[in-house]
Amino acid sequence: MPPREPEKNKFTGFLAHYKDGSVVKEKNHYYSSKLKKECATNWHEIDKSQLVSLELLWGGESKIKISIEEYPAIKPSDWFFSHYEYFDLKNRNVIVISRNIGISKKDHKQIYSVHEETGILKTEIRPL
Amino acid sequence: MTSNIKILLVADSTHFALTDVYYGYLHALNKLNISFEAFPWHHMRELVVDRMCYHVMHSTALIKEKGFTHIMFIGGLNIPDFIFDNLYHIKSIVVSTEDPHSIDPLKSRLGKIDYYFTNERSVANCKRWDNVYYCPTAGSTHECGKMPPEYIEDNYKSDILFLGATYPNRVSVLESIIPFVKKNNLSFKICGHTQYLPKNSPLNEFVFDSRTIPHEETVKYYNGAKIVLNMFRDIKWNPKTASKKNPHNKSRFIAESLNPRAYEVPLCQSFMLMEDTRPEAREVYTEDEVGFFSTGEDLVRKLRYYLIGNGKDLRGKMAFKAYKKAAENHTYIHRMLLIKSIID
Repeated sequence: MPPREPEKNKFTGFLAHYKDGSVVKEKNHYYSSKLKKECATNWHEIDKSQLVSLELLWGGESKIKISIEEYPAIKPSDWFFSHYEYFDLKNRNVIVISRNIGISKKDHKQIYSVHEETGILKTEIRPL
Repeated sequence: MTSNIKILLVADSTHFALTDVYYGYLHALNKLNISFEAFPWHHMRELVVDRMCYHVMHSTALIKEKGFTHIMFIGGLNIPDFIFDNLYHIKSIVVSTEDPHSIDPLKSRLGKIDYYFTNERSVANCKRWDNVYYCPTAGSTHECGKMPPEYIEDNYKSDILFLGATYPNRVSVLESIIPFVKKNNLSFKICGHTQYLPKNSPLNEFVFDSRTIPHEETVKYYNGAKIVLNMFRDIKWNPKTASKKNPHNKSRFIAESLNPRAYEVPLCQSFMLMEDTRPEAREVYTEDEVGFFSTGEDLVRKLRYYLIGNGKDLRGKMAFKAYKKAAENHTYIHRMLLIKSIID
């Protein structure tokens, strides 16, 4: 019997890389022991002042990484992450359309989105 | 983004590449929440004669209740002088797209135009005019993008794609790759206007689609190609004169800047091989982002490397880097922000 191959990590979401080398994974619909309640995301736990990069993964594959090296003038509040979602009334749950990470620049916000179904990377620019 | 400007955006009259520029700016104005109204002249002239279009355009711009502060012409070559002469308080903006090939017809009108945004750096660097600004061409993140493979039908797929008008300077380079294409049994497609292609040219065999390709299909062609060739226009050539010499650049401005394709292909996350004849090419992109070629022989060498050689695996990474650069610096939204900073 051939040895079992390790299962590939199929994580979809973003990774927050901190200055100290630690990594925080995005979580959805989990119990926050800090807030003592069920939360939609763990975004409130991400310390933007410690971020050095944001990496968006789809099915375990890194789709885009934005790091402080590319944008040295970035301030903690310039980091951005969000979802495009809708509430499915029939099945009573939230459906993610795309996951987004980005940064704010001088007069606009540069956003990268990964489509949840296809994994296709797109760009969006929003005025500030 | 609050501002007091309100723009009447006027398309060019032709259904050609300028339509893409028009839609690019239209989307950018929308995204940036700049107050505007669109005047799709290319559609209007299908219904009424051009004189009527001028009249409607002029009247619309001057309706007091609409409160237009600027009128923005895409291209501007087909706008008659009397429009520029009679805009009263409304400031005129021309976003030119054909410089330096067709600079002369607009050069004589520069005194009447308030803001002239040229796509050509050498024109903008000329100290003769104060109202000329450099606004490079760009791509639209709204129109261009990566498509799921299942959306791309087989007829849009190719190994090598050239999409554009087959001008003589392009023909000679394209002909030089035919032996390589045949030897390796590659799919080579030429799409776009082929009226300048000689009937006896061996390239006729590879002409796949000779229509004015709609933008949605252009994006599909770019997505379906392993390598997209980008060659620049010979600005000294003009098919409309007996001598075939271009009479519209008497000041002999040098072509330094890039075409919209240089941004559209990377925005589709497709790999581009770009002709290394414009100084700006290497200022915008590095060799880690796009491939460069200068002659037919060089092109064959690069095609061999990127299609069947060691560079095969590099294409995806390079295309991604080029995409990131184009998406972060060279979209119509970035250009519109630049225009706004000058006119506001």
